[in-house]
Amino acid sequence: MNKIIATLYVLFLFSISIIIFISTNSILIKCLIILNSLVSILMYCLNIFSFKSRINHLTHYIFNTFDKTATQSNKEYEETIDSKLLHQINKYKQELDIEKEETIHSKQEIQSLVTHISHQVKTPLANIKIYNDLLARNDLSKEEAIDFHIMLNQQINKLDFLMESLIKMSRLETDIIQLNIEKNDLYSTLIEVINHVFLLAEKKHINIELSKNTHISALYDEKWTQEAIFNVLENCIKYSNKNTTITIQISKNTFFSKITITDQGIGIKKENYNNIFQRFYRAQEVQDEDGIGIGLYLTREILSREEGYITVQSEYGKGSTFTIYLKR
Amino acid sequence: MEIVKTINLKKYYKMDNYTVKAVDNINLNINNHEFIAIVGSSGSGKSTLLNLLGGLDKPTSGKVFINNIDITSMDEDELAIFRRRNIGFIFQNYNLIGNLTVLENITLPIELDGNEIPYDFINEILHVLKLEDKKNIYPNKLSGGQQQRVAIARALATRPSIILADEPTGNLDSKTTQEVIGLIKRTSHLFKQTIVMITHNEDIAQLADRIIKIEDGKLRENNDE
Repeated sequence: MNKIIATLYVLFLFSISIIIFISTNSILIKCLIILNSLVSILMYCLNIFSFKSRINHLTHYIFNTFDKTATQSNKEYEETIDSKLLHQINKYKQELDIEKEETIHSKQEIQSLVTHISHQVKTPLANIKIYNDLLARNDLSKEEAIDFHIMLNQQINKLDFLMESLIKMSRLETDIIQLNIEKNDLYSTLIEVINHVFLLAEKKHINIELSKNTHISALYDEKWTQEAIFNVLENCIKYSNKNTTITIQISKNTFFSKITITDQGIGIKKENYNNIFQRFYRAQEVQDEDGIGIGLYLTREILSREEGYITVQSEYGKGSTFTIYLKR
Repeated sequence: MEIVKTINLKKYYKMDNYTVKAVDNINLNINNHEFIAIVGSSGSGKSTLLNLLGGLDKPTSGKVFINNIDITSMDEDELAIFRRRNIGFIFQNYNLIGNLTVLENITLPIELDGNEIPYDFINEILHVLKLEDKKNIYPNKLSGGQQQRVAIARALATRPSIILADEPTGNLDSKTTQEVIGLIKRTSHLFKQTIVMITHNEDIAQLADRIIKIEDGKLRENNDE
């Protein structure tokens, strides 16, 4: 449409020029009109030429750009049309480069995971071999045999727990898991989790209180979110002393439903707030307890995939509050 | 891949008989898709650092690379266009334009660049930030939290390489703060954005992938993954 209007306009100006040229008697005016027309044609050609040259330059740049030796074009940050095109092309290329890098990075992650797993498995396996060999001896007393059997059992359980955790983690990391996100009731989910963790709490006489029948819903995968919450509760129980209380509350705001879990445990130092969610991290204070440091990491990963997240606030020595946010 | 990289970055202000070292020899690397929090107390240099990263200020010495492009050697015009196309800003006081509607505020950077508005993408952003029914409302009718959501949408609209957020929850109450931070985290994840947020609040900084501490213009890295 614009092309038609532009062409008509040019023709219009041209016709006026001709009319004036024919109707005037002044030589000066005739020369001026000829000069004007010549200059207009020259400007037009120069414009086309410069535009063509910029497009050629752009084409040449694109051709070279998929070869890494291409240098940055300095025409990317101007207000012209080809500059914007160049910018979009560079943006697209960059996204491709990033994806390539992420694939390589993913591969490396998996490799390091495999290394870590085989490393962790070595110790319990070696212990199992030792106790097994010991039990094969026929100069053992009854008490010794029973002892060794107990220790063998412990190592087997440890190995079992280790394998389960590591398999879960690698499944999550390699995206094998498909989350089934649906509207679920937080209260019933929490009841399930508390049931699973009940015995553990009982052993230490820890009381778990859930805020009364507040039925608030959110969008999440029931099974995996239970797992995520379980890890948090398990940690709270692990790092709380006997005869303490853990309180759980449910609330909501426009975007998120919240689960707040408060314990009276050993607390977490502020500088470790971010650390506790890292893979394989175990705080100084808990080196004696069983665990490989992936519980909270898994929790954060699961929540992240459900577009939720988790925060922590703590008073060292007094207790911690974990807040889980789930999408509404 | 390093989206942002600074080399020996310095911003010194020369007073009569002493020099204020706002940013003192900072070497920083930020990878794509990272959510970084730069934490520091008032006067630690964090705002100055953010301004230098965003090209809103020129350093005394040193270089800032964004997408491997040296922005410290660009002239004002080029830099303005670069910023418009590659950087998104979220400010503490929202900085929305009062006589434009929510939708117009969000699409302003795109219109300034003379581009067609990608309505599908914009609608997706509006949906995630729950602003669909506020499209045609003016900023003065919105609450602080809602205005900040519009600011976030505006920062996301051009799909910039990085988003710089300067105390994005500074003017909000604690409940709204939680909302907005959660949204920033969610949108950064969903739209695969790199976000650099500066704050003095350690509680919200913990949501970041990596926390970098700044004190007296110098960095102290913490919690490297």
